[in-house]
Amino acid sequence: MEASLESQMNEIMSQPGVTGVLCADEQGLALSAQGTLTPHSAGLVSVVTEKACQLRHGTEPDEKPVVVMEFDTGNVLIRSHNNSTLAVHKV
Amino acid sequence: MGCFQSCMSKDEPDSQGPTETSRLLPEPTQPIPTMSDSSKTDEESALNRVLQKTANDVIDVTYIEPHSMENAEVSGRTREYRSQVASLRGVSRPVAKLPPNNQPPAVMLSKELVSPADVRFVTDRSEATAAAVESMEVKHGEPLVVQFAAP
Repeated sequence: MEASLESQMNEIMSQPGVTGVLCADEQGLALSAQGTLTPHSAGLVSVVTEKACQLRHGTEPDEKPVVVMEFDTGNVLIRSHNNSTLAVHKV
Repeated sequence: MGCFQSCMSKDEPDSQGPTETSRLLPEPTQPIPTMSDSSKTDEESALNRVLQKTANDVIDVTYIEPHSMENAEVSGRTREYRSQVASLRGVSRPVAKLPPNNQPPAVMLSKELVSPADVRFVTDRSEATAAAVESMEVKHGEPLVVQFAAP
């Protein structure tokens, strides 16, 4: 049932520098998580992108922003598309 | 009564089988067999072999000959080991990604931002992941709704 989603996640994890990936639905529930990103952070990731979309004024509503959080251990890039949110932890 | 019977019949011959006073071990009618000279020699040689093997394999830590080393050699080895340990310590330290916060704002803001390649990568992957999520459908082998026969 989720074979296509798992293959996408595995392909993202195989990229150089990627240590974690997380996919959440529109309700903030984790669909898949691998590596350093755990299912516990699915709700927070969804809320971050939702609030980031509200901050933007004068831009097209269909254009979704990419939120980048810089940590000492790397960057976490978050973007939502349609009804799912993707978070990638990259060093 | 059983006690009287055993006391009074102790002189009678043992014709009714073993009793509580009958001997358990047979009488030593035959002499104990002694080792012959050849077998004794084999035993001794086998014992000697075992002792030799043990002496070769066992390391007696309580008796170690004092190994004398010169002071210069000892200090040289100490220096070398300390330098190796110090070099290993430096390798394991992780490189800090975030810039230190004691710099002026102009320097901080002029730091390199996230690379466009990473932004493009996340954008493409999020679209592909959304398509994969939408293509998910429940596959079931048995019917999910069963009709019960209503009276």
